[in-house]
Amino acid sequence: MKNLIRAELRKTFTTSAWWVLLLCMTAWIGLSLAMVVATAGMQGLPGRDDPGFAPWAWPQAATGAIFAMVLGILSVTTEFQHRTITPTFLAEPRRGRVVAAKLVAAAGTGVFLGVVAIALTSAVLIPSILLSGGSLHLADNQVPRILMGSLTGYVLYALLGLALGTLVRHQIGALVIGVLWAMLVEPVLTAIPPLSDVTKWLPGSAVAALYDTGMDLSEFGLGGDLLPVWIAALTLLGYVALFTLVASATTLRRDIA
Amino acid sequence: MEAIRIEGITKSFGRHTVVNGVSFTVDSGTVTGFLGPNGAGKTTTLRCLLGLVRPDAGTALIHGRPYVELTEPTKLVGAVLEATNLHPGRTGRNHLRVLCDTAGIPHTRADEVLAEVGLTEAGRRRVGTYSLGMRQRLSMAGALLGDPKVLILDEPANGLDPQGIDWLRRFLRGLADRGVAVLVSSHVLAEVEQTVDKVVIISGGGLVAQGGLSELTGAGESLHDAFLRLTDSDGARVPQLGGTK
Repeated sequence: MKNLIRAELRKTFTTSAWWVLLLCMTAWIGLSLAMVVATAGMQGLPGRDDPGFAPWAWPQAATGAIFAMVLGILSVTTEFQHRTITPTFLAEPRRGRVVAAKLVAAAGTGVFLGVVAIALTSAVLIPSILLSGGSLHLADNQVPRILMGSLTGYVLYALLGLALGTLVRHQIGALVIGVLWAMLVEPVLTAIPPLSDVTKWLPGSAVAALYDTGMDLSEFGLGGDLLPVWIAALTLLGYVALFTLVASATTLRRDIA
Repeated sequence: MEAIRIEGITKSFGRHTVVNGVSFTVDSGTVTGFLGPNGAGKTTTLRCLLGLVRPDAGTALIHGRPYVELTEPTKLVGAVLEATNLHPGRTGRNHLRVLCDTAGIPHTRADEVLAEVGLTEAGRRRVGTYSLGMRQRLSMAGALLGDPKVLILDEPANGLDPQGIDWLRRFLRGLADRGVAVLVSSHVLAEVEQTVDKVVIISGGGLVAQGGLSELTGAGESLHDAFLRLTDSDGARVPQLGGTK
């Protein structure tokens, strides 16, 4: 199993997709942070020296989780796209083990992206807060909690992407489904208040619950009804398990012709 | 020693029966040519043998076991099905290193097989820059990583230049002389005629002949003529010229 995981990590880091996605993620989070910093103190938004700035600014670390999902999707659909799945399954015909190794490797790349996201966020916010004369008060502001939740979000999104990719197999199809869902369908559904009993169980809301501090951010159009953190984590793992099981029963049994 | 045993393999895709009750064996230390016109079912038979396609009926064994039950498949079987099963953005050397990782083989072996197929320099370049012949040789290098006892090649001469085909012939001969069982499919008879010890001919999904080269080619008949006679016996099939698909 260790050999298979090493092979999967090597697959990920020997093509250009990972650093292209890493750059895109960095730009994306950088933009989010720039917006937060630039608009601080405007129109009722908390200023950078305000304790209320922390729960608003730090969760920006989690905004890049979608890139972890894309990397997860690619780690399996690329194999079908370029038909490298044939040598992969020739070298390890027990297909379930291949998927298990991919899950572990995807979790690893999720941690990697998450750590970069957290480092970038800290590198922007810490000087930004201190320079404005504010105090960090990391513990009081639940910053460790927000960042741990964000990191977990990257890992779970990478796993979710992998599970989705295994289920769909088709690269463009899986990417369109994943990105459209995360960027459009779920945000729209979540914005409909009467549906919140249902939408809080959706993957994006569940990830939001991981880094939610319980502070009321509704005036900024954020927050809302979220699951307790452990339930949210279990829900996300449930999605991964469900997708992977369905994929094992269907896609993985299919002929590689 | 019997290295490969295929017994009554049948496979349909939808309502189209691609392989119908094909049986044959391949012995260690021989090169067996697996011949048939395009669409005869060669590739599907090989994919059943390698556990990639699940046959509707029949069994395919390598050293007495189904492929999917082999614990270290890379060290027993090397196989090349398509030279296009490569990621264009990965270097040849990294492609082999991934396979080394999976099989628990040291990375130095990747450089050894690259040298064996003459890709030492090219190994550091991305596969996207390779010619078809180079991709064939890289795929072959991947099949050789585990120093296998059984080698299975599907249309290996595709994209090889005359020197490459000559190299391939001598290479396969050398492997067989060292006791490796080689099964090589082809629709280009000239490329196998001088290399194979035995031929298995299928047509329209069914076995039409198998045996030593001399048994099939009767008095003064070339393999080419014997092939046309055997594969055209149902009157309907005309071997096509062109690609493999």
